[in-house]
Amino acid sequence: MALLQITEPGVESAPHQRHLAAGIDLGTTHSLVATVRSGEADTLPDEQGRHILPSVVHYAADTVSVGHAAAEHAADDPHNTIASVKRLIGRGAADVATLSGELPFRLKTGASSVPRIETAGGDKTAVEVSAEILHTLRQRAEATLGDELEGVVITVPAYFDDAQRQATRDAAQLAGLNVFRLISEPTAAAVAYGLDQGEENTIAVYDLGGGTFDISILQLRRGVFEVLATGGDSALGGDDIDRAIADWLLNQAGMAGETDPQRLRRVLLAARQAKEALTDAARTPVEVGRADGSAWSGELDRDTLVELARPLLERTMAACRQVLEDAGLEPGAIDEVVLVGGSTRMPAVREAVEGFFGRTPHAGIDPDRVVAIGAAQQADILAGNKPDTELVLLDVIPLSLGLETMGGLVEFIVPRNTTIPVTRAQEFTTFKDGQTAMSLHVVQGERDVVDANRSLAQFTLSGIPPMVAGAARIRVTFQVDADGLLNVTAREQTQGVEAHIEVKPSYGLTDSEIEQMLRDSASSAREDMEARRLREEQVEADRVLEALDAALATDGDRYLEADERQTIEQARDALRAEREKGVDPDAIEAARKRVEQASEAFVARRMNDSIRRALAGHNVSEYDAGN
Amino acid sequence: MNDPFEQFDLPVAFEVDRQRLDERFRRLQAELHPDRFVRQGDQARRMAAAVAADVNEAYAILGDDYRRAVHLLERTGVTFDPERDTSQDIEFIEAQIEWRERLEETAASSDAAGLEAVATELAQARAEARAKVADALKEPGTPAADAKDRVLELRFFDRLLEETKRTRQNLARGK
Repeated sequence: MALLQITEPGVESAPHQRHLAAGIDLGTTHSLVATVRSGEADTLPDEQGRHILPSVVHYAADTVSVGHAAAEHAADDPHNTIASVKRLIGRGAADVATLSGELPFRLKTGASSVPRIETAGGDKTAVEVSAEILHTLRQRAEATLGDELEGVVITVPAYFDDAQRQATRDAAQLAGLNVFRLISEPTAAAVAYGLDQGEENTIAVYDLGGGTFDISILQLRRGVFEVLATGGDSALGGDDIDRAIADWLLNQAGMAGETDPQRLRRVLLAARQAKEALTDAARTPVEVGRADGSAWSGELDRDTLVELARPLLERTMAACRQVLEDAGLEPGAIDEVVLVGGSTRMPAVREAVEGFFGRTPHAGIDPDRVVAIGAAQQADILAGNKPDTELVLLDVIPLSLGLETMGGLVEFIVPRNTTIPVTRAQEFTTFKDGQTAMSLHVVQGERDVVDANRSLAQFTLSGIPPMVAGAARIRVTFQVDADGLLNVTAREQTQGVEAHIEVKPSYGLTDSEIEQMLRDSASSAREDMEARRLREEQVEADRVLEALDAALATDGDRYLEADERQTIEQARDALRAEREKGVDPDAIEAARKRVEQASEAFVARRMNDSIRRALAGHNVSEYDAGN
Repeated sequence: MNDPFEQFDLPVAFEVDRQRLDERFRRLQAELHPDRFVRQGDQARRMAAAVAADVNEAYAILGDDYRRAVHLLERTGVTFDPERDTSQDIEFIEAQIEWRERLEETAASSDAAGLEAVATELAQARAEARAKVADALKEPGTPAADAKDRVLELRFFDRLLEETKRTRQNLARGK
């Protein structure tokens, strides 16, 4: 039931009620949660005052730990300590096989298409591991804010495909989070700096984290954020700079060839501390302990650091050049540059970026937190805390969607960079006489050959009435929602037969698998499932009731006959009574559905009128803007 | 889906007022984007998504010369089949072959300057093709008899310009 929130001057349904919402940066090496309080967006610390949560989960036989506590097990229990799980999320067995050499844990690719990680706590999917991280952040936010979150905005890399986005959403569902929207990480960073407010902007987001480097070129044009190109290196980051400094220290101290892991770890730690000290200082003292108990004392200065970091910075600049070429742009075409990731604190990085793009990069916001902060700002708007905000963040799909056709070629249905949400349909036909079924293969990617793209799903459309070849008209519809998630349906047109469709996700989890996980998951075992379901239904009922009351108050007289209004109000009162009783989630759901059914025509009339008004220009924003 | 011109309340014509189109698009999205309905229940979001998708599609049609022209012709009962439709004009078919050969030659010899020259000429030819489409659709209710051929010619130039862009990128990358 679409009850339009038509903004009228001075009318607001619940003036002083704040809706709790948060932004989550679910990162490869670390994650953060942020929220807007008193108009300011900031990240939330844990009880020890730490904002960053390492994206690490440790599974013992009967306990699960997340974050710093889990990271402590990395050395002594590597098989059960899951880090960098983001590299696996939404990936299939084949992708994972190519990654498994780089990952310390044991992977199992068995009956299910979704690979599982063997741990002492049982076999875990990347979705479940990510859900543990999200659950920890949710608890932190709710403990800080004192109540449940209404919803969150979660960031994903700009290049994430449908399977990876869907898996991220699944993880949020497992963690008991209501996802308002998924937005891309570079977009969130641009939002944090208010760059979405401009008219036309071409923005470069340079994201150098601990272990990954991403460069994205965004274009804001006519209110749409387009990702023109993305690139980077998934094995390049600040950790490489630490290693370069550590090697230099070992040479200086005459310890080249040192093999003792504990001593090497200490040198690496000293290297990182020196690097961080040089963010503010021009030179810093360093001490390194030798095997014989003696110590080397020396100094590292900024010039030396720049020399040591240069080869790595050169690699990031090569990636920047590449991505600009992909976008068909010169460095001078970039209007704004945004820095993301802890490693961009290094003055050498900033200078290199500034030199390359010829502009001073935005760096006023902590580069570790900027993505979470942008997500929190967007969550605040979506939660309805800024009713005056007209701006919506329009997004595009990052990769083209299509179907396999004869000969292993791809027929593109929705090209990349199409503004979402979008619905596109295309007709296909049978190629054999009497053919009653058709198998459809949905792929995502830019290549003409199926095998070079990502396989998203296999469908079988059966029950096609037998006809001569080429007579059947099968309409395949691709619907992409505002998060970039795809839904495909197929229907035979000529006979009006509603044909059956079977979905087999190539890499995703089926609904029943997710339901099973919900029951099994450690995070939900801590809560009473029934109580949670009841609460969710009550929240949903509240939303519907609040929106309906506001709609009736403003537009009831205009659009409803007395008897129509009475029917709606009866259904509404029944829902309110059921919600107040608060015992049976099924009864609340049924009552809500009846309200939605009763008010459908009312909703349609209001929506049509709202479109009419938007076009006629009689909306509030225009008066405010004074045109 | 509703007629795009009606959806944006714009006169049915080949030439559209880009500024008004953009402004209306932003205003419609500000009202109808599913993000505006996240707190009003799943059904509200789904309905808004359907309407917003419609608006996006209408905007894409109105904002693109070729798609807008196709739509105008379809309104008068002309059918398009993207797989099989080609211009029937022999002269134009010969011109197409010539354009393609020129583009392929500059690509094969990695001649960046030559490519730029072809691109400039192509852009000019495209502008001329567009003017012919505009002329054929001057009366959108009763298009000229050869309007479909003119539209297919415009499509040819759009596609070739896309290819030119890709060739330019490949040259820059040294492929």
